[in-house]
Amino acid sequence: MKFKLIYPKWNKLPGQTTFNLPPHGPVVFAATLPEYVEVSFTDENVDVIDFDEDCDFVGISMMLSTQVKRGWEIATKFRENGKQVIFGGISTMLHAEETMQYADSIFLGEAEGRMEEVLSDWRTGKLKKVYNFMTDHPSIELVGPARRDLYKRDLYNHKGVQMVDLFHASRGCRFSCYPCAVSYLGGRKFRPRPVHKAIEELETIENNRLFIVDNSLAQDKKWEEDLFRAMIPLKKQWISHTIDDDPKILDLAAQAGAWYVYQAVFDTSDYIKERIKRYHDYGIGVEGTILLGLDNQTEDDILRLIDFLLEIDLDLAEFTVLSPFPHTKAYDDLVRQNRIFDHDWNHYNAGQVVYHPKNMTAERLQELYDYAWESFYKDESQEEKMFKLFTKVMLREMENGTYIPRNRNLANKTFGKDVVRNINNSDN
Amino acid sequence: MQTSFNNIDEIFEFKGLWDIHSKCGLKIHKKDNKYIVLVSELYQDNPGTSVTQASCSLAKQICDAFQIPMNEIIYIEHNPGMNSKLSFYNEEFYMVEFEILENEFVNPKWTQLSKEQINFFLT
Repeated sequence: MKFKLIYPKWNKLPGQTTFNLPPHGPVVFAATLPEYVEVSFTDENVDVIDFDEDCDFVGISMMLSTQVKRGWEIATKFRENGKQVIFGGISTMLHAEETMQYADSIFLGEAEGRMEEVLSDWRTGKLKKVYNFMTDHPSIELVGPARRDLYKRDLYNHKGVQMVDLFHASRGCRFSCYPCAVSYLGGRKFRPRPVHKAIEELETIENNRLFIVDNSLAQDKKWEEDLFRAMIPLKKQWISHTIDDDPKILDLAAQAGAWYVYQAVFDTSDYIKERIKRYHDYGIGVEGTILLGLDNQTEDDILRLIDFLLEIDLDLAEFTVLSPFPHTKAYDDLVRQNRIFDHDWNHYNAGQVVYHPKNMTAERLQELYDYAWESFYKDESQEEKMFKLFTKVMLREMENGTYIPRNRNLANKTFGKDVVRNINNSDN
Repeated sequence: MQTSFNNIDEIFEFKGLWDIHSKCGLKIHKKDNKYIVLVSELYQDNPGTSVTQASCSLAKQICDAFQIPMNEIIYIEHNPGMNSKLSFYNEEFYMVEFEILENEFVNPKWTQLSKEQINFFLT
């Protein structure tokens, strides 16, 4: 049986450095398919979909709200060609009702241990319109190594440098943060993978550089310590979201190869400044994530926050405007107050204002968002700051003997395309 | 069985989107021939759909469970305060007005209530 698995493309934010990372959701899903299924995977961000490819059943995996409209278009084309299409992934869960209009079936929830049933229904012509396992999570023990063999590796390479591999060590989240839907999607209970299972998967990943995509590793200190301790011998270098602000954990994280972490910067307090310093004290870099447009922010607050970022020693900063994703408190609040004016999911990219902020106009918030990016990267560009972090990781790898030089054969390629060089050929 | 509406104060279990098991706080009392229905969001203690996302369906499920005529409810959503310094976790109350179409609630419209207004309804 031939299963065509597709990850739709989306429009990248203008003016920012674009890196195409190998997507995680589709290959985690592919690992749940029975062995008799032959999977062919296309990530449309780096490759072209062949709508005439020989296949029996089509799966569309979507992570972002900005993918859903393209996902619906792709499904429509395949269905016109007589193929049945099933949707899954995070944004299928967030946009389930609409997605159902373009699907033969939608799968809600986590796929481990469920796909034999779905495929059996498909084979016998009894495919259900909805497979709903939203609150019936499979045992976390069932989560196995992702099918990274499906990647066309050369397409995730920029001028000979392989992009990081994505990996997850847990699911669910015990926090219910204002703009976040993770607790709705993965449940409000933190479900860490057994450390030996996580390590078993890490050992299968050839890439030494990883992005641990878990929402927050800081949810169970004992597990976090055990995980980091077990990771030390692997000599991986990794990026992650927040880790616990605890000297013992920071020390273990550093030994385990913490490269840099994403840390929310939500005010101008000494707490934030000191927290960033503590990461740095352990040799861990920090990319600040700054959410603009919350109801408690005035224009002055945002301007002060931008100034503060320039004072503290952040390695990188990522600015976003509030995107009211469905199934978040932010969405509920704005719906009740009738403040959402743009319902085009392509605009829910965390860079475009789609609602009326409380303390300024939407246009002014958009200007402040642009100003924040420009101000932070005025003296040193995003590429330059990234290069500094990259140099740091290369030096570490050289020290611990894991450094792999860039692939010279791909030096003129960026994500599968030829590098365009702006060479001045004038005779002057 | 006739319910005494001055003592409904419970955790109400309901079917959220896709029949997801969901929970909210529920208080009902009768005032001037209307049923004042107060649903409270439980945040982390609600395993499923929020009261706002489920508003039409939740209101109908409450009417069905307590045999309340659909045109006799005053329906109020309550977002409890979260003891946070962030203003969007302050306590808020919204009256939700629905249209009734083919025995279903549709087209919800929310109006925020002041403390005086909520006191009027709840006392």
